[in-house]
Amino acid sequence: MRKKLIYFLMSMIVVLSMSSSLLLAEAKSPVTVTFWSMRTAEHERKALLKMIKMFEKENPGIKVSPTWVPWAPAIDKTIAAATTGTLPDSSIIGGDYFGDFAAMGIFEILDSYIANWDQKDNIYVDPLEPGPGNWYKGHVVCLPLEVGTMELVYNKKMFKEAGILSPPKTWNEFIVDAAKLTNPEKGVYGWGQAGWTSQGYLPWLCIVAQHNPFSAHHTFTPTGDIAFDNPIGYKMMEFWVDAYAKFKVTSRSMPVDGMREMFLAFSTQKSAMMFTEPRGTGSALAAGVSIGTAPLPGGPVYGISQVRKFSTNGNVSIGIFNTSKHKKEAWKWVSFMLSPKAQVIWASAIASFPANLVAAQDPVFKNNPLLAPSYDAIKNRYLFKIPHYPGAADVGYVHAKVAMQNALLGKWTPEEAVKYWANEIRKKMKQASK
Amino acid sequence: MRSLNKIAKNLIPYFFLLPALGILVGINLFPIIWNVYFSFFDASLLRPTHKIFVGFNNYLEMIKDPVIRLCLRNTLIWTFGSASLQLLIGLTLALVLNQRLPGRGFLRGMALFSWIIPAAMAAIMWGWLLHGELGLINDVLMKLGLIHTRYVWLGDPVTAMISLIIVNVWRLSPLFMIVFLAALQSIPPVLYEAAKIDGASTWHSFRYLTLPLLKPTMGLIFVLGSIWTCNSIDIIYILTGGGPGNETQIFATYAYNQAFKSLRLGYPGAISILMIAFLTLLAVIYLILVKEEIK
Repeated sequence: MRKKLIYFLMSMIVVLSMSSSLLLAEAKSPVTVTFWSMRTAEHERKALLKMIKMFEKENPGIKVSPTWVPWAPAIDKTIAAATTGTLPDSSIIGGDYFGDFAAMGIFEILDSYIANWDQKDNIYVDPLEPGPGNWYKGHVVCLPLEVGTMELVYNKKMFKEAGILSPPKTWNEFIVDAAKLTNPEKGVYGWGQAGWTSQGYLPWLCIVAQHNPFSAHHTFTPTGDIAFDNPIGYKMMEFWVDAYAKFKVTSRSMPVDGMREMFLAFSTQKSAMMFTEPRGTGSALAAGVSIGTAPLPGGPVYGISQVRKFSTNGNVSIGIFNTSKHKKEAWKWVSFMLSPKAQVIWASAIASFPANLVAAQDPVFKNNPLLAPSYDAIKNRYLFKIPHYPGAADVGYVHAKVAMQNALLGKWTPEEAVKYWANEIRKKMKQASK
Repeated sequence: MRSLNKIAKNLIPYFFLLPALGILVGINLFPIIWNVYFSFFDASLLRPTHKIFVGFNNYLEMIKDPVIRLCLRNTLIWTFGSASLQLLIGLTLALVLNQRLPGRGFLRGMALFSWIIPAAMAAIMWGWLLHGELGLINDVLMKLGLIHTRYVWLGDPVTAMISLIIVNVWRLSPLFMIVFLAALQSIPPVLYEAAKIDGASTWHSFRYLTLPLLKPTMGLIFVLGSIWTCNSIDIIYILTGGGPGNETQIFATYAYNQAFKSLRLGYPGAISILMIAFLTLLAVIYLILVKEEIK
């Protein structure tokens, strides 16, 4: 009996010591925050890994495990992960599908997190200010990770060779300069465009917003209707189509070109000007092109006066998914990504304007001439977030493309093209409100 | 007892077939049934649990949708245009490579080159070749004096479709060639020798001997090629995305866009049912031809 008791006690000691060591090990093991990054280029990976190292040093109890997800399959992967409950804790969020994801209800509401956050006043756009991006139904669900101003990027050497002394300030000068730079026999055009196969329509939305007194920003009026479905929008579309069909200053391949082709044409000096954000200049800089930047042209277009300065802000955000088991740790990571020191690393790596305005005071950005239009837009408050709504990606990538291509082919009038596009947005808004 | 044993014995083969049957049903039949089911709903990929029964609304929408009419026209041109040219070029290549040429093995290997390249990669490559300003094809044509300004092959509705068909023909003709080559080699040489003795010219041998003997193969490969082409979206999706406008949109690309860009489930389901009907018709023709060949 005594022997049995000894055996029992000994086995209990073994079991207890094993389970306590397991518990201790669990308590000591760091929490892992999973993070999806759509910035997958080598230099972007290096920058993120550097930031992770810094973060883990500051937060010994938290590890960040990155997964590289290229932009192209990001949407499918996110939807699949959302439906199968395998979303990461946190992720970079492309603006295109922000509205759709927000409507799915997969984001953690960040209101309570940012309430006591010491950086909340330094983030551009102020996350507490209701706006078209990062907000959904009155709540902050994401934060801006990158800021990019739509600006005019031009080839200094080509300008000099054509005898053009400075970048165009008006749309009229823009067309005149573009014509001087165009040589169709050599396949060289003054204006390189991304067509409307991707986000090539953003500069057009800017020109409409510049001239449209009825818009709060570029897509919606203050009452929620479509800002460009009016005679001003039709005239601006006419201007865009004329640049291709009448003035012939933009690539004939424009209808089928995407961002990739636009960047390559600019890098190989097949086009002299393009509208893009600073981070779109990477390939041209790598190719040794001498780049100049300027704010978007302004002034009257077909007799319609400019009513405001306007530029769009790039739309890459960061968020936490509400399925995360480590929300507190994920927030630590997200807020670290937006801290001034991390933003200096991140924005430098991706050639973007930092989302943290304290970081924007760093000489690495202040002395970068490519970012001058961004500073101007922020200082003079004409940088607007791209509006996010459920179905925005479908409208942008499918219907805007169809509208523009039919207008360029002459199958639709500019008015028909604009109306088609606007009606598709209305349909999406109606579906989303169901 | 004996009859029971006999029944059990007869059932055993079917029992062994069950796993394969299960896989076939799971892989082929289940998605089709699921697709038919979804075609009666208004559902979104973004809200998988939220679906509304809409009856035949998606089918009615299809009738009213002008893009569907364009898809029908384009699918017919794309499918039969590609398959006809693949047949012609595949047969020509097979006839050439069936001759006793020096380096015949090497040439046969080279002829297969375009078929080995993955379709997506081939499409990207052709995209650059056909590009208006940056494309090599315009450079070559201009140097040869055949064109004087750079042409945007994929930006014009007519040349865009022709370009797509050319790319598809370039990619799949080697497969047709291989099939024809196998068929040609199965024709006994003695028939040609007899024809020669009878005074038949090369043309007569081809017209009255080769062609009739290749006829069943031609029918089969034409139908199979049509089915593959009708189903394939990679080349069109990468080169034009169905544009300009919707001028090169086919059923497959339109259904894909509706499902994975517009994130709808019901409407592309209905489009897929239409596609299935079209492909079933081709499959029936294929089966009839197989039956004919067996006879």
